[in-house]
Parts: sequence; C-alpha cells; structure tokens
Amino acid sequence: MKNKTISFKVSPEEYGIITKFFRRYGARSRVLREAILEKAKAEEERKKRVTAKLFRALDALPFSQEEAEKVIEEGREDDYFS
Amino acid sequence: MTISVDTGFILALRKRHSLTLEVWKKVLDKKDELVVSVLVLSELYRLYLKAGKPQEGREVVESLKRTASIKGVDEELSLSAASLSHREGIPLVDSLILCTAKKEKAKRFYSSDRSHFEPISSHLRKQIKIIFV
Repeated sequence: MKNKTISFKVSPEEYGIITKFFRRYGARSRVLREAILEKAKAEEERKKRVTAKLFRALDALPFSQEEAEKVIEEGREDDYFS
Repeated sequence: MTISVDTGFILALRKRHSLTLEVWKKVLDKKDELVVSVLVLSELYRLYLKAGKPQEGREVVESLKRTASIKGVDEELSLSAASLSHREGIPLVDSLILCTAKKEKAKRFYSSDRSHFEPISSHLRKQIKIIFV
C-alpha cells in the first residue's frame, strides 16, 4: 500500500475523537498527534506574527484615537451630509 | 459568525481593551469571519499618509488582508448605501462601510463611531447588531 499524506484542521475535541478512532483500529496515533501538535504550534506562531505586525504598525501612528477620528472625518468633508 | 468593523474599530485596537482584543482573537482563531470594506483600508492608509508613515500604513493593510475578507463596492452596494445615507443622514462613507457588512450578512458590526451609528442602530437591529467599542 502506498503512503499518502493528508492535511486537515481539527479542534481539540475532534483530535480526541480521531485519536480514539486510530487507537481502536491500531493506527499510529502518536505520529498523528505529533503532526497535529506541530500544525497547531505553527498556527499559534502565525497568529502571534500577524498580531505583532499589526499592533506595531498601529502603535506607530502618532495620533490619539480622537485625533485620528478627526482626520478621518476631514476626509469625508465633501460628503453630502457632513 | 460573520462580523464586520469600521476604521475606528481598527484604530481602537491600540487601546488593547478587552472587547476589541476578544473580537480580534476570535477572528484569528477562525471562530468569527471578518469582512471589511475596502474603504476602511483606504481611510486607514490615508491616515498614515497624513502622518508621514506610508510603510506602517502598508503593514496595517497587509495585516488586515491576511485576516479579513476585503470587499469592494459594486453597483447594488453603492445604491443601497446612497439610500441609507440619504434616509438616515449619515456620511456616504459610513453608509458604504455599514452596507458592505449588511450585504455580507454580518451579524455584528463593531464601531467607535457613536455619533453616526448610534441613532440608526435601533432601526437596523433586525438586520445587524451595531456594537460600540
């Protein structure tokens, strides 16, 4: 039988169900567990990276919330109602 | 659940309030799907240009593109936004941003703009819940 690579996202609950299934049918749940944990770790790192990048750029803005909203409002000065 | 935000919400993330951080975390965890009008990107980038920081403005735009589904304006949206703007007396850009959320069937719309959205939030409550940050 040829080896096949599969890829999917699972929640912790789904992981429990899958490992139970694999244990029952004798498949190598350890390998599966490691693959899932590795994927979860990579996903956590991605979230941290995206958040850090966004917050760094947001913090670089030299306006307070009120000043920023005023600038946005000025950008709408040609609006029908403003 | 699909949610949407306005420009003020993105800027309010800087304050790290529990509500804004919770919304952001749910989006990152893929518990909520974030849809954002392209006009929010435009307003944010203009703000950074005004501050003389275009590079940081690009980074905010790129971060949002990675986490949200960015929606443009088509004819149907432009006409419904014009109607809402005219009927409720809110600026057209606000109306376009809110109508994008409605069109994408967002259940919640997060905003910091009480002055424009609070008076109309009760009229729209059956279609979308407007939450202020």
